[in-house]
Amino acid sequence: MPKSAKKRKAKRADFNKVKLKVGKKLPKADNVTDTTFKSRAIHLPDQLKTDASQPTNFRQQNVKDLLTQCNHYSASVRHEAITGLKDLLVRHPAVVPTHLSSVVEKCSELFVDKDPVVRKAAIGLLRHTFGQASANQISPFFSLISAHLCCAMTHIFEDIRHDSLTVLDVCLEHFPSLLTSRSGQILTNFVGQISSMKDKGVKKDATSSSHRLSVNLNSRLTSLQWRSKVLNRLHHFLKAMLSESDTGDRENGEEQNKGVVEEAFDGTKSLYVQVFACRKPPSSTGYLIGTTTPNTASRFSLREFAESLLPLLLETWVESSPGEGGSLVHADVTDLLQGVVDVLRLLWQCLQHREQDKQQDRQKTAFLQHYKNIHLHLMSGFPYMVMEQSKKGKGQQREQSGGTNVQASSTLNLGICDVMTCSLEQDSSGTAEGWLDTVLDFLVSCLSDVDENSAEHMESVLRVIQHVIKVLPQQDLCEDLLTAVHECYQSEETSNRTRQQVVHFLAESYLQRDPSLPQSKVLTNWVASLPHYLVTMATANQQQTEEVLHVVQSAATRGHSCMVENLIRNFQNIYGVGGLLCSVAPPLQRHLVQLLYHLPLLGGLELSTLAQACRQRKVGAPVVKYLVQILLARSSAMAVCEEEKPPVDTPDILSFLMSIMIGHSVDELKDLQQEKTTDVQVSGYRTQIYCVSLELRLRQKALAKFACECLLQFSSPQQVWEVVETVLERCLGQFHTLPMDTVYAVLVSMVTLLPPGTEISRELLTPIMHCCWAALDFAIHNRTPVSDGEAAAAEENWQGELLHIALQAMASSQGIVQSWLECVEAFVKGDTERSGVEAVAQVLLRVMQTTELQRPLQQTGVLQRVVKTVTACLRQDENEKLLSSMVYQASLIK
Amino acid sequence: MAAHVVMEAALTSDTSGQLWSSCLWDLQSGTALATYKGDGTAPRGLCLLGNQYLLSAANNKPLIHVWALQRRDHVQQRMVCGGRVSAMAVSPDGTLVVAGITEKINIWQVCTGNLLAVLTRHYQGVTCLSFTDDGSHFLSAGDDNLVLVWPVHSVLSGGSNAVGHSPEPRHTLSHHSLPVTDLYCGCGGLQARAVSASLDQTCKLFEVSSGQLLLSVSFDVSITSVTMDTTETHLFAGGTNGSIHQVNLYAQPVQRERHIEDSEDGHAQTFKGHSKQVTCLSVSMDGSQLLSGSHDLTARLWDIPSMQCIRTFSHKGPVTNAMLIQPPSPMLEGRGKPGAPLQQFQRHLHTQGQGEGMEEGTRNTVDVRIGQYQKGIVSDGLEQDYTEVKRIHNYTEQKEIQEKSDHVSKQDLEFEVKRLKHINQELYQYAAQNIFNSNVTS
Repeated sequence: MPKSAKKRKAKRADFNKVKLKVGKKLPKADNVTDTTFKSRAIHLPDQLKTDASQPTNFRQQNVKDLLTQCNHYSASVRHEAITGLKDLLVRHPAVVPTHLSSVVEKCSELFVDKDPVVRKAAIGLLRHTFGQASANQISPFFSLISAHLCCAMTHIFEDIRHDSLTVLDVCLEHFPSLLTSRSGQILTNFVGQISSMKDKGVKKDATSSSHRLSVNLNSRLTSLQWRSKVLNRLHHFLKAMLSESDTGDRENGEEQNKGVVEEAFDGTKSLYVQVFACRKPPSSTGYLIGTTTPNTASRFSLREFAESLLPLLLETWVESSPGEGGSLVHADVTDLLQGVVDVLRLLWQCLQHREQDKQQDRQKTAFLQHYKNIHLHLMSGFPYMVMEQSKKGKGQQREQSGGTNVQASSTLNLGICDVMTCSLEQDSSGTAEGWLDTVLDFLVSCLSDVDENSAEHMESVLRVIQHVIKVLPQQDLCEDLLTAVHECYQSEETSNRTRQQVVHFLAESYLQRDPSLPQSKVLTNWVASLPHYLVTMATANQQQTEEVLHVVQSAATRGHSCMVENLIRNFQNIYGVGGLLCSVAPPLQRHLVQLLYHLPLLGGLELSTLAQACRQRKVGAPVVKYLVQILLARSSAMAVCEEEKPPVDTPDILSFLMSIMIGHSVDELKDLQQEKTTDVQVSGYRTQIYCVSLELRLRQKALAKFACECLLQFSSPQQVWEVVETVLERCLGQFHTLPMDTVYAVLVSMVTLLPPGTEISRELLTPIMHCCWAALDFAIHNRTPVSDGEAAAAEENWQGELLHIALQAMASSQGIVQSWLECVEAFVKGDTERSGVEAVAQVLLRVMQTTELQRPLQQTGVLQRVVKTVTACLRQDENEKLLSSMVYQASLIK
Repeated sequence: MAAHVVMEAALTSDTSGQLWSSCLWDLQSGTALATYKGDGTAPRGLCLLGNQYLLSAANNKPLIHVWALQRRDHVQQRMVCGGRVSAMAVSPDGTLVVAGITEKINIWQVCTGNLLAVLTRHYQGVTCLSFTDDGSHFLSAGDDNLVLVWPVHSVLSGGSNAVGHSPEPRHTLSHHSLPVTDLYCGCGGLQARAVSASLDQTCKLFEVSSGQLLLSVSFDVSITSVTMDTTETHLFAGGTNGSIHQVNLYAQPVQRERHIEDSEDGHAQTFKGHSKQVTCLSVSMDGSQLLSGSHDLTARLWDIPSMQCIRTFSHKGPVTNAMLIQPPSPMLEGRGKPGAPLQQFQRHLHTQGQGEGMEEGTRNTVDVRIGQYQKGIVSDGLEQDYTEVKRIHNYTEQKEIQEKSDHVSKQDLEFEVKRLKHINQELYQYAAQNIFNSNVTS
C-alpha cells in the first residue's frame, strides 16, 4: 500500500541535497555548539578549610600536604609545593627544627629533578633552611644531602651537574665544616666533572694521569667556561678545607686563650681560680672520631687526589695559555688561568698542612713530580699581561676594563709567584735558579711602584715575600727583598695604610726570624729607627702602636744596643710631659714603662723627667706604681750581689721617690704660696692647708704609701730617714701653704719611715709639729668645703684617715708632743679670739682621748698646766660640756 | 742528733756566708742540724746532687763549691766555670748538672765531668733552671722574658752532632714582658704544670707538654718567687714588697647559704711578715708548711692553713736559697761516704770525636751510673710507679700521634711498634752482653 505523499516527502526531507548558494550565508548545522560564551578560570588561592592547629602557608596548606605534593608527577605542582614550603618556613620559622628532617630529605631529592625551575626552587628552599638551622642541627642529615649532591654532581644530564655546583655553593656558604668532612667523595667528583676516566689499559707510564680532560661539543657552555666554573668551586672548597684545618688549630688557639684565666690579685680578698674549667668536648666532626669511624674522609687520600688533579690542571693551563713564550693572555681565559693558579696553591697548602706531621719526603712527591712541568708551563711567559677586551667597543668601557686588566694580570702573576715559591723548600737540585731571579725581580718591581698598588694587592705581595724569605736558603737574596720592602717603608709616597702593612710585615719578620740565622742588617736598622717612628706616628692607631712597642721591647730584650741608644735619644719625647706616655691608653703605658727596664743608664735628668710625667693625671696610679717598681728593680735596692754599678743610682732613685711622694713640683708649691688664704694664723699653727680635689688626694695617698713602702726596701733605714728628713725639712721650711695630699704624704712618711728609737732633728721638729697640728685641726673641724651628699661620705672617710695619721705622727715622737703643748700654751696665753681657743681645746681633747698619746702627754709634765690655761681661758664661756670632758680626760692621764 | 726522726728539714743559704755557706734547720725546734762552711751562695745556686754531694754556686766568683754531704767543715772541691753561675739545677737522677752562666746554659755529665752541651738560645742572662721530676725535660728562664722548655735527650744528642748547630727548645714561651724571676715545675714528668714569676707583676701557669698557657694571675707588685704545693691546689707568689700571696687553684665551693661569718674568708690570703723582697719559696711535702727566704735577712716558716709565721731563721745576708728537703742520712748523721768521687767539670765542650776516640781507644767500658737506686733495692711500689709512668707516657704519645696525624694507617702504627720493639730488644741484648757480662767477668 502506497504511503501518503506527504509522509514520503517528510521521510525524504532528511536526505535532500541542500543547495548552497554563493552570497548566501551558510546555515548553521543543527548540532553546532555555541562557543560565544566567555569562560573564566576559578582561581583558588587557598583552601577553604582552615586548620588552626597547624601552621600553614598562604594557601592554608600545612607541611604534610606540601611534602606529599613534592612527589607529584607534575613539575608545576612540585614547584608550587616547594615554593609553598618555603613560604611556610618563612612565615613560621619556629617549625623549621621540627620538620627539618623531612624538609631536608624532600629538598635534597629534588636536586636531581628534571625540571630546572623545580631545582632552582629546591636550592632556594635549601638556602633558606640552612639559614635557619645551626650546624649541629643539620649535621645528622648532612650525609643525606651530600649523597644527593654527589648524585647530582655525577648526573648524566649536564644541566643537573651544572646546578649541583650551586648546591655546593650553598653548602659551602653555610656549613663548610660539614662539607669538608666529606671531602673525599666530593673532591673526586670535581675531577670527574672536568675529565673522563682513561681506559685502564692505556695507563702505562706512571707520570701520566688516569684521567684526561673531557670536551663536550654539544653543551651551551664552552668547555673552558665550564672548567673555569668547576675550578672556581674547587678553589672555594679547598679554601674551606684549609681554613677548616686552620680554624681547627685556631680553635685550639682560641681555647688556649680561653683556657687562660686572667685573674688579678687585688689584695682585698682571697682569690679562687679554677684552672681546668669544664671544657666542651671536641666537635663530632673532629679528626679523632673521623679516623675511627670509616667514613669517606678517612679513606680518601689527598695525595692521590692531587696526583690525579695536577695533570688536569696543567693541561687546562696549556690549553688556554698563550703559546710558548707569549705573555699576552686573552681576557676570556684570565679567570680560568687564575683558577688554575689558585687551586694549585691551595692544593699545595692542603698537602703541606696534612703532612706536617708525617714523613714528608714520600708524600710531597706528588707535587714535586709535576714540579718540573709546572715550572715549564707557568713560567713560560711570566710575567703575563692580560689583554684588554676589544669587543666591548665603547671607549669608556675600554678604559675601565683596561684598569682592571692591570690588576688582573698582577693578581695572576702574584699567584704564580706564590705557587712557584711553594716548592722552593723542597728544591734540592737547584732547578729554581732558572726562574728565581725573574720572580724576585717581579716582586721587587711590585714593591717599587707603590702608588699603583692598592692595599689588598700590597698585602698579597707581602705575603708572598714573607713566604719566600721563610723558605729561601740564600740569605743575600732575602736581604735584597727586605731592602726593597724597607725602601717602600721609607718612601714618601707610601700611603698610610700601606705603610702600616709594611710595618706589620717587618715586625713579623723580625719577631719570627730564626735565631740561628745571622742577623739581618736591614731589619736591625729598621728596628733601630723604631723609637723615632714611635714618636712621629699617629697615636690614634692603638694596634699599630702596640705592635711597634712589642717589636721594640723584644729588640731590647735581645740586646739591640743601637735601638736602645735611639730610645734614650727620644727619651724626652716619649716619657716627657706631653710625650707619648701621657697620650696613650693604660695598657700601652705599661708597655712603655716596661721599656725602661732595658735602658742601660738612667741618670738624674731622666728620673726627674719621669717624675714629672708621673705627676700627670693621665698616668694612672697603677702605672706609676709599676714604673717605680721597675726602677727599683734596676737600682741597688734589689740587687743581690754588688758586682757592677746598677743603672739607677741610689741618690737618684731616692729623690725620685721623694718627688713621687710629695706629688707636686717645686714650682707648683711656689705658686701656692702666692695665693694667700684669708684667715691666716687664726688657729696658731703656721702651716696652711690648701684643698685639692678628692680624686687627686686619693691618687696621691696611694702613691705616698707606696713610695714609703719602697723606701723601706733599702738596706739601711737610718740613712734613708736622713735623706727623707732633709727633704722634708727643706719642703716644710720653704713652704707654709701645702696641698692636703702633701701634708698627708709628709705625715705618712714620718710614721712609716722614722726608725724606732730615733728622734727627729730640731730643725724638722717645729715644722712637723705645725703640720700635725694643722692636719688635726683640719680633720676635727672638717674644714673641707663639701659640695654634695655623695662626696660627703668619701670626704668624711678621708678626714678620718688624715686624723688617724696625724695622731700617729704625733705619737711617733715625744718631741712633737712636747713642743706642741708648749706652742698651744703660748698660743692660748697670747691674745687670741675665743673661737681660736675653742678650736684648740677641741684638738687637745681629741689628742687626750687617743690611747697611744696618753703616755707621751703624761711624760711631758706640762699637760696639766696647759689644760688649766685653756680651761681658764674658756671659763667665762657657757661651753660646759667641752670643759668638763677636758678636765675629766686630764684627770685620767694624771 | 735530734731526738725525733727528722722527716723534712729546711736547707737555706745566704749571700754573706759569714757563719756558714748553707745550713740545714730542724723544722720543729729551729735548731741547726748541719752547717756547711764556705762562701756565700748565689741565688738559685744550691743543689743536692744524688743524695751524696751538695753543690753551691759562689756568689761573686765563677766557682761551684762542692761538699760531700757527711763532711761539713770545709769545701772539698771547687769547680771552675766560665763565668758567674746565675742558676743551677741537678737532674732528679743526679746524672746531669745544668748551670746558667750569663746567657748560656751549660750541661755537665756528673760521672765524667764532660761539658755535654752549651745552649745559647737566651738573649740575656739565665735566671732560673728547673727539671721536671722525671728528668726528661728542663725549663730555663732568663732576663729576656723567655721561658724555654728543653727536652734533655734531644739537647744531648743535638749538642754532640755538630758544634755550630744549636739544639732547639721544645717550646718557647714569651708571655712575660719583663724578666722572669722564678720557675717552679710541678709533679708528673712531661705532664707537669709549671709556674713562672716575673717582674711584670704576673705569674703564669702553663703545661710543660704543650707549652699552653693555662692561667695568668696579675698582682699589684713585682713577683720574685713562686711555688705550688705538691697537689697543686695552692700557688704562692712572693713579691718585692715582702708579702707572699696565696692563690687557690680551685673554684670556691658553691655555698647555698651564706653567713656573715664568712666575711673572714673575704680578707686577702697574704702572708705578711717579710719587709723586703721574697727570693725563694718552698712548700713541704704535706702542703701544710711554707718556707720563704727574703732580702730582710730572714727565712720564715709559715703554717699555710692559718697563715701564721711559725718560725724565723735569721741569717747574716740576704737569703738566696731556701728549700724544704728530705735530708739524706749522711747529712743528718755525718757518716757514710759518697759512692763515687766527683769528676772536675770541664770547661770546654766535649765533642763526639773526642769521646769516640776515648771509647774506642783507651776505654772499653761504658759509664753507667745508677743514681737513685744505687743500692739495687727497687721496691715493688717503685716499679709500679715506673710502669705507671711508662703507661702514661705511651698513652700520651699515642694520643699525640692520633691528634696530629689523622691518616696514620693501622699498618704504619703496627710497623712502628715492631720497630720500637726491635730496638728495645737490641738495647737489651747489648746491655746484657756488654755491660753486665763484663762486670761479672771482671
